[in-house]
Amino acid sequence: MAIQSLYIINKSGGLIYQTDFPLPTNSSTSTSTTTTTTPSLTRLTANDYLVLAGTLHGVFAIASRLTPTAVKLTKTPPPSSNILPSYNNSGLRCIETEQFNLYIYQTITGLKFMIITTPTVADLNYATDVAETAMKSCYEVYSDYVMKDPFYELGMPIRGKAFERRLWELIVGK
Amino acid sequence: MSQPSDIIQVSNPTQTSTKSALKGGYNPSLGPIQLPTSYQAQLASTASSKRNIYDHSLSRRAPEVNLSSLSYIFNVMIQYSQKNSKGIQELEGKLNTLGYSIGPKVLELITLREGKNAKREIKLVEILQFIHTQVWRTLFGRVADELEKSSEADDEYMITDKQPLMSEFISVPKDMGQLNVNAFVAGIIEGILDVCYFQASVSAHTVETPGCPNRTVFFIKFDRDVIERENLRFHK
Repeated sequence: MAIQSLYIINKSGGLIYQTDFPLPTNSSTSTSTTTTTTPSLTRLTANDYLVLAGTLHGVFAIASRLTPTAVKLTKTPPPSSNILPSYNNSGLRCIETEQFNLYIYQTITGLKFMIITTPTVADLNYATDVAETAMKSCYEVYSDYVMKDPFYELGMPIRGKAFERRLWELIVGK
Repeated sequence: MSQPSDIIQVSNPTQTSTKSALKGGYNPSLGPIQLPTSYQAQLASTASSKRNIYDHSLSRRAPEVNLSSLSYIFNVMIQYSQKNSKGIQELEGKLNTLGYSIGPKVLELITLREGKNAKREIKLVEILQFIHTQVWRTLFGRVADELEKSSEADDEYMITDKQPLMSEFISVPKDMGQLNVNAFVAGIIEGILDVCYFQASVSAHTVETPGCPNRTVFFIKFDRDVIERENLRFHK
């Protein structure tokens, strides 16, 4: 399971950040440390990403309405064990396909983090937990490098270099 | 002292028995309310169980401030200064002024903490070393990276910080290219130098190196008089 793409969607469904990550190459085959940085996914136009995010936001809202109350996850983990729990208790948490897996993490403020990963053979619950941990780390980077930036306007696209740098350090590891 | 407590009894006869309902301060219908001394003592004892920042000794060596709180307040300072200034230069000037007032206070605090070892620096290089080590350690918990003298002019010095604490989370947008929010820290340095009678102007500049995108150089230009005085005193 490798993270291919990250989307951050604000609470009104607007895409505020999108990036594609290169797939990690096998260490045995790669000779130099400077591996290719070509993204593993084909780039869409900027508009397509916005449409994608908006659609997903809508589907997410519909899904949470469709979820029967009995099925909704009611347990909220104790704050000591889990500092940033996902507030995505209903609706869409993951989509599993043969081509990719998609996971969604929602913060208490309504911000959505979405990652697309390569398909996994592991148990879906386990994979969701792993993905949520990764998105939680992204959320931590977001709260440090976006929310503490005086030049960032809330709800607007993220352009900060510091955020991007830390995110790549986190996901790609350099 | 018995009189004020009588006033309270008249106004709230039922509440005097439950002391928790008592509140000192100003009541519009009664004027200022003074609580009985016994109650005040009780209040003070409950308050002292929770120490606040003013109870700490100033000489404590490692007082720490939450980095998030610092970042948020610095954010607001930048946004406020930006709102009230027309250009980048004016913004940097405003941040510099905000920092300037902190300088003398930091100097006072460090001298107080050093106690008997405190020394008044009169040599130019020594005051710079003091800023480079002691001031940096007090403010940011570590020593600044480099202290250099300009090769071109004898009144120019540079202090370098590879990863400045104040701008750690801040990305300056492209249209504000030359802005460096460490103008605030430059202001602190300027304040210290001025109050030590080393009049100088200090500015902060981003000088990027690979691996250190936030590397900041604090450029210190001393007044001509200071250099002349230095030459007269120490290089005859």
